[in-house]
Amino acid sequence: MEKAYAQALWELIQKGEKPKEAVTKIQTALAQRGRAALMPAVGRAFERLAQREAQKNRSVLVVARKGDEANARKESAAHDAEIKVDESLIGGWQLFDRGQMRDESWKSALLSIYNASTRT
Amino acid sequence: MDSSIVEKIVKEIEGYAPKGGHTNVGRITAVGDGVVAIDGLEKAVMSEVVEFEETAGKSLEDSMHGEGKLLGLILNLEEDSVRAVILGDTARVKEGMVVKSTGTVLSVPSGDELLGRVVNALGEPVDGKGPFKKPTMMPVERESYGVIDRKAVTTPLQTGIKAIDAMIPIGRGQRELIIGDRSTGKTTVAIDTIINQKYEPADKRPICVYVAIGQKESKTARIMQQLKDNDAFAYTVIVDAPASAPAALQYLAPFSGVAIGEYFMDRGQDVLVIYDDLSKQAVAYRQLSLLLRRPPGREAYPGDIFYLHSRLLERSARLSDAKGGGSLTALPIIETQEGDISGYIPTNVISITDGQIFLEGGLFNKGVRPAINVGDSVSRVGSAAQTKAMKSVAGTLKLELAQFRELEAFMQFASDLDKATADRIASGQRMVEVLKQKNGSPMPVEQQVIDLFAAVNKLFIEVPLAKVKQAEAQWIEFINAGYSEVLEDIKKTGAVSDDSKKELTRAMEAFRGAHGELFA
Repeated sequence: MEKAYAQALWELIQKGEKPKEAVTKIQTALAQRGRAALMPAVGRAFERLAQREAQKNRSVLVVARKGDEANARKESAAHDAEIKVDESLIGGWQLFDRGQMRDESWKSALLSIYNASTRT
Repeated sequence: MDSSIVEKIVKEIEGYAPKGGHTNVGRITAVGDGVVAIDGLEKAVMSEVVEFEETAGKSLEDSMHGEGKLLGLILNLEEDSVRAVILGDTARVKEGMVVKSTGTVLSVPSGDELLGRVVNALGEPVDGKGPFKKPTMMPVERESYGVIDRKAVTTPLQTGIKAIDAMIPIGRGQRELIIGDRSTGKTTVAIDTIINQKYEPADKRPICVYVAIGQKESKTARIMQQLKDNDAFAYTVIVDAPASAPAALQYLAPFSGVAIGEYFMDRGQDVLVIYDDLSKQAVAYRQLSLLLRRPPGREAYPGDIFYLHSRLLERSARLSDAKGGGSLTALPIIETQEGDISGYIPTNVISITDGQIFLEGGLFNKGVRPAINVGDSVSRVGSAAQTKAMKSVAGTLKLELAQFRELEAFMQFASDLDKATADRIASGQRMVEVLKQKNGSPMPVEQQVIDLFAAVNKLFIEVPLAKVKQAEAQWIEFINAGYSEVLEDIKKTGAVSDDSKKELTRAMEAFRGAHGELFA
């Protein structure tokens, strides 16, 4: 139930409603239905929803070393992506963007060669 | 370093082409009891295979020495996440791990190189004989053949068990349930059927697939050894999902078994698949469904438990000539509790299959083995597949035995019986003796016919009950030694000709004369 109210709140805000007003409307609607006690749970569900949406739209570019960012940004065309460093990649980069991954790391290339060579 | 290894690596490097492109990914938000909740994977489809990305953050060396790919199977598509079952070691999965979509449904390897091998529910070899070289991948979930692609069941599948081949005949493409309490000989019937296929000519011999679900590894090892000892392993594949395997693999194993069998059926060959047993698969599926938070129904089984078994068993078929004429016969096994065949899962499977062989604990304990309850056992399509020879000797056998069982109950209370009743009881008792058979000793059909011919023509009626098995063995030996042309004729024509009948009647007279000591 709280998920549905949280979703409704999210949609109100997405439509341009001011957050404070949207929350007031949800509170009024809950009170009218005798479900005012549900409000804290709706708040928590909204928080999770907002986190998920933020995660969904997050763009992360993982590089092997500091200093590789410029080249990685150029190759991946992810100019606004958040940068992370993972030395285990050896070289190259990985891009996580809107639920998709592009793996151009040396580690994965070496691993695929290793797996193909050791497969008897 | 071995130069061949270096050459291989050089070849791989030369041939390496970056995969490129994008992969749909999600992240694990919750893990528990073999089930994961995954956020993301928005374009996931039902029954899609996903790969858990275990190499993230690990060094190249650690990644190289990993335990191989860890896969999952999507079983729930929810509003804001998907739920998948882990097809492997659940301890390798961690919260926050990246999950990659593969865009494929689960498939298992099949082909000739699987014969004589033991594989797990994912089709990976577990017998230490190395990986398969060029297998054909078969989808685990596939729509069954429709009406137009099928034809009637008319070819017999000989089990080598007299009681079954005579009274509950099974045809190629049929689904015959083996049902009974624990330790009543269900697996023995199935294994004897596999062993008996060695008597079939190589070009018509069915490929056998034995699917062990939730069984002890020691039992599966024993079965494998028994098949090897009887030269039956060369045409058999064992799919093993032991009791220690995750519920997801126990649920998948029968589907993997049928997928392996379908490869041969599609090639026009005959296949026999044994599911040992579907009760354990139902329990594994119940566990998964509850963990996936699907609403429970009767006995806490999910609402689609009937569909689970019907879609599996519907994949048994005898294909039309246009489709190659192959067949897939299914012998599912169901374990009952205290002989109750009216339980939820037993009634479901009884209604799906084309008949059942009911094994009874009481008969088993009385020494009647195989402990087949003739009254409750039935084959709905098999009679059309029975050979003329068998029909001619076993026509009234079932009725006679059923009458004997009634009289047997009556006999316990009656002190004085009229001659007709006493004769019928004596005849019934001898027939029961004749139908007894040791495990691991299936009998070729022509010998069964000879044996039953003698029994229905009252050869053993004057033989003391304790000596019937001895007399029966000597009778078969007698025919093999002096009348082998009759056996050959039955084997060749599949019928007992008038000449053969006369010859057998003469043989019976000669046997009486030669073995007077048995008729004392």
